[in-house]
Amino acid sequence: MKKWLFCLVFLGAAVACAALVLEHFQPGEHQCRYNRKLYLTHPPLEGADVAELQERLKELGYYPGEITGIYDEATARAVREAQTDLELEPTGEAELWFWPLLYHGEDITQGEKTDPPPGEVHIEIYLDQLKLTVFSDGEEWASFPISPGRPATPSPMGEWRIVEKSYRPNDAFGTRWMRLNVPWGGYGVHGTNAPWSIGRVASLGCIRMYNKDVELIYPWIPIGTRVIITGNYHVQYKLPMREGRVGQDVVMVQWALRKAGFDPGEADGIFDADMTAAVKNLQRTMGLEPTGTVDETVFWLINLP
Amino acid sequence: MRKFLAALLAIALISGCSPGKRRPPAVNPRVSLDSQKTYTVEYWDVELPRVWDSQGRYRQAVEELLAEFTAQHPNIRVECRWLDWSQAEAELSKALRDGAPPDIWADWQGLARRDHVLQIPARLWTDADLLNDAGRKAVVHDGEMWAWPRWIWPRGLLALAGSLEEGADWPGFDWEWRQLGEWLEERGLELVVNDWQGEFSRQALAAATGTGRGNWGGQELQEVFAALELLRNKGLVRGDGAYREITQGKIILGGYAPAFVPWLAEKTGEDLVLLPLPGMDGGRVSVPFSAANLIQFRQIQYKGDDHSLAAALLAEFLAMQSSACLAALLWAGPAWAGGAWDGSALPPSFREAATAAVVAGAPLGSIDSQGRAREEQFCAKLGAILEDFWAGRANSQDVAARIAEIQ
Repeated sequence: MKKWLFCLVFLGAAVACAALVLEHFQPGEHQCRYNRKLYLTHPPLEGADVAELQERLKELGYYPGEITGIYDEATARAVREAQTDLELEPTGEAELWFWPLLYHGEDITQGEKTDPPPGEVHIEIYLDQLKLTVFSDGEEWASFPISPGRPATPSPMGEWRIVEKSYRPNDAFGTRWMRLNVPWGGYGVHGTNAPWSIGRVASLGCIRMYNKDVELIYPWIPIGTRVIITGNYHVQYKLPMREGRVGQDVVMVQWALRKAGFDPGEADGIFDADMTAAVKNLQRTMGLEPTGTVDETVFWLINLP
Repeated sequence: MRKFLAALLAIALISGCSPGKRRPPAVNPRVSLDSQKTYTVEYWDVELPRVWDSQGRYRQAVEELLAEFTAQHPNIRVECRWLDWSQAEAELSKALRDGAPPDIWADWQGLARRDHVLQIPARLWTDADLLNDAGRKAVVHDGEMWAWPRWIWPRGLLALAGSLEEGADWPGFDWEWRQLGEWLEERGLELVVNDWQGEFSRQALAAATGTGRGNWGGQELQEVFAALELLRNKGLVRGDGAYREITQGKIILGGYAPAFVPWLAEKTGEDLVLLPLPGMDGGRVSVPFSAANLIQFRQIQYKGDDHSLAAALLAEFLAMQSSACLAALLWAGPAWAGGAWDGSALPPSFREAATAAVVAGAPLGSIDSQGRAREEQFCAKLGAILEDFWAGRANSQDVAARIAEIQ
């Protein structure tokens, strides 16, 4: 009888502990299950809440140490770094409202549709709206929030193609990576281990999505899928511009040429033979010598600032 | 200015395109259409780039005309193909090589082609007397009428109205270069010309001598370049073709293309003024112009002239109606006599220049296939000579001598 009683008590305690642990580590919850603020003090604060915070900060790449459950200097430093990235005051103190920011949006897709698009897919990314939209046969299918590049490291505007896809171990690129054929750098659409950055201008130029979102659309997007990125940030132009030139300003000129009625092909940032032909056609139409060079007159004729 | 353009188009389309104002058919009725047959006429036109026609009004207007034509001719079906502006010439060349050109081709080159083995002269179906002087000069060469003219663009010097003094005397059609130079100097104006392939020089010669393309010689050539040299040395005229400077000060442009005019009006929203180019000796007055024509080709899969007649009916209809109602849309004047062209829709200076060109325009040259190749070679060599002239490395005598060498 004592054995049965012991087993019953032990089982009950185990279930209770498991429930407690599950509750504390429920990844989809955005509410903090604890009731105290964590900060550096002497003696240091200890407990399951500290351990969970350390674990989460480690997942996110801020905390390199062991999970000790002790709120030490390394933990406070990790909190300060996360706060800096969140554009918060780096106090090193974890208030109760700080917790949801570490989990926000990570485990639910933001897409209004989750079934695969039936038609031909292309993607449009609107940098100023912080939005990625999947199109099916030209019709809007589903949209997702993103984090594009910061002003100092802007995302590349243009008409790109997905040229490479891969799974990731939830590192800085999250769980999925899709490379774009941008000729002046390694840019792509990917997940993130900094989900709080979604909805903000925060990346180094890539397009960040919530992991669940990028996981959802990953199978929809074959290699070669067209990705159009538009925005309205200021672009520096270098004139004269000739064949062989590569850059964001080339993309803007390509778009302007097309708008003027002289198609240079895809706006891929490369001043190639097609673009030269388009410039020459514009110049001939306007009665000018067809040099194929974008000089100040061509620049003016295609209405660029 | 957009409102003005829209109003201009509306006036042109609503009032100018009225079928009631059409002239009697010009097509020679020697053959007749078989009322039991359906004729299919292939018509190729070119979609204007948006930099020229931002609203796509030209295509819309032509399609309305085609609908009107087919309503009048139920047994003529028009297969219209719209070509991309950049690809049009290549498409036509390929079709001609393949022996399968369209029945009617809308030519934007500004000079009459001729002598292609498949080209059908328009004189077979119509009479040059139905054209006004400029229309005749555009398409009649060596006694043959090679095309159906649609409209003519008067050429001259372009200015923004705001850069000219209000109420001051503007150059007249009988002015000489000396007077123009004084006028520029007094008002602190500068003439900037685009002389690629001799565009401006050709116009200046045409205005001075009343002769058209290819007349690069004689006393007039020396006189025109001597006048330009004087202005150049005084800093009153430059040949760098800096179009954009027209918005940056007291600049007048010469040698601009027709497409530039509506573009500039839309971009700046300002009124434009077309000033005449000077003549020589104050006596000979002519207005240089360029033109757009319709060309008829032979469709060799058809036998008999009734198919060609159907095509000619279309060409006649489109040429006359384009002249009447599309000309204003493109800031041009009419090519047919007594048409429904409403010049009041154009700014006064353009209306005046178009009217003058219709009466006294300098003839356009025509080019056959060999002539085209010769022209290209000539222009390539001419470019270097003119570059030296505008850079001050050659004087008028050098220019005349070197042009004589490459003729």
